[in-house]
Amino acid sequence: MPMTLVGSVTVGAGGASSLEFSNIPATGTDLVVLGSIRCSSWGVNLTLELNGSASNFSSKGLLYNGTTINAYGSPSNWVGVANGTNRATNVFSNIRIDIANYATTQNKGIQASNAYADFQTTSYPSFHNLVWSNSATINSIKLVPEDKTWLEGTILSVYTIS
Amino acid sequence: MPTPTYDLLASTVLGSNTATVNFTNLGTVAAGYRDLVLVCMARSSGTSSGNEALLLDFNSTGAFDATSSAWDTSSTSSQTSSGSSKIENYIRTSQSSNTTPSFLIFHIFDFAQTNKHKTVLRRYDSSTYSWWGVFRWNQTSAITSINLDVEGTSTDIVAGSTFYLYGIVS
Amino acid sequence: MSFILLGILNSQVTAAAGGPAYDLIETTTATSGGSITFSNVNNLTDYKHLQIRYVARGTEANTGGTIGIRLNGVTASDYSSHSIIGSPSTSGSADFTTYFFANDTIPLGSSTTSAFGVGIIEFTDFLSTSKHKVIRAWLGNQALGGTRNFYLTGMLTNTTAAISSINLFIVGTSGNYATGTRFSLYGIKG
Repeated sequence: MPMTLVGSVTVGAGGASSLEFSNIPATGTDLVVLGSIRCSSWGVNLTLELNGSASNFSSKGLLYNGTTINAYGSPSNWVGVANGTNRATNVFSNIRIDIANYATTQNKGIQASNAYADFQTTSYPSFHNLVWSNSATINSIKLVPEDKTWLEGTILSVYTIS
Repeated sequence: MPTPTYDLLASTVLGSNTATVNFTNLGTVAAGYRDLVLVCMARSSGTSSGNEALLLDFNSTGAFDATSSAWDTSSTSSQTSSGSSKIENYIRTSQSSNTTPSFLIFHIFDFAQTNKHKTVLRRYDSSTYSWWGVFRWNQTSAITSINLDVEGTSTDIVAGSTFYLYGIVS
Repeated sequence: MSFILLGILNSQVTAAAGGPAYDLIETTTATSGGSITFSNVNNLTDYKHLQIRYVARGTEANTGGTIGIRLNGVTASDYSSHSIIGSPSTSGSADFTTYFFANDTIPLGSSTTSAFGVGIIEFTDFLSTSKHKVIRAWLGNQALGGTRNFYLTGMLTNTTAAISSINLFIVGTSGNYATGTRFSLYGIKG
């Protein structure tokens, strides 16, 4: 079975404080998330919650901040940086998240790559490799823009690969 | 007419510790596809406290040139190699502080084209570092097999490790 | 499958779930010239995102070449490109240029024989008319002779127009794409 769209959501006028996909079917091997994302403040750290939990993650992030390239170990569930208000208008970050073996009883491996860009020197292409030390099948994915709000036009699409 | 693609061609899920994993007969298995994507979750049975190399080669022949960059939680480094018979990919061992299998993705472009060397984008994580990079197999032959084994004569790929090979048409 | 939006709600779920989501749209193999264009991209209304996969080399008598990318035929200084470069870990950035680019991402004629550069370029929400387009690219060139780099590049264009065409060309005044070069366009539903 080729790559299959599981679902997609677009944030409408008024925004949303959170985006969560739940009841993900356990019929695939890997999950892929593609996103065009913007929130109510720029440069916000985007974190991942699986099955409602932000625990038991570890991460290694590589980010270019427009001046230097730096490596980070926190946030432990960090997957990217979101564009937002008070910066270039109408610019949305472009993010991809791959989660391997999401429906197995093993701990999960996660790779994310993110393109945050604006017309200033601060620009944050980044890679993130994460481990979720939890053997449960993933049935929900939540992306959290710190304490900010998702803005209209934010899109997340979730796929299974099997 | 759009053509659905990204198709599972072959898979191996290890039921017991195994020395090697091989995808063979790709001329038939992957006929009609242009790129291959190999997705692995793998760990070694080694007793090193850090990482061991999961070795990859094509057709058990040829040489590889590779350039990689690594990062941990505070620093970056890079590595180059030339003329290697196998590509090293560092994966967690049974003694790693976190025993989650390492997650590896290889994008193998134009694997069956005989007018070019084969270039691969790869990305993976190990116990200490995360890695990304590019490598080139210096053969114009079509890739007919992909072979993986762990460095060390008495070390295996552990049970539960998974290997999925996908094909993409072009 | 359900979707939970916490807080202020006014969102919708697309109805396309369940079917194959990644389709080959078109492949162009370079037979001559140093430029290829995917046209009428705005007609791909069944898709939410696009991906280009390429294998490329140039013929110019030099070692490292650069693929420039323009959208909708726009040649104004509307493009921004920022890259993590992996060999060693360095960076590159350029704002308000006339095309997207990442330097030395393909081998040219004087580079290692039979070596080609490769890349995966993803365009999310490409038909939106309210967003500047941000493109994420993972590129690699492993050819000796001074050019072996790999890139994670974020690219931004200063226009909210839907993408109607994608032009990928060799930057510079001479040289064409070498035989064996191909660019494949994929649609991703969402």
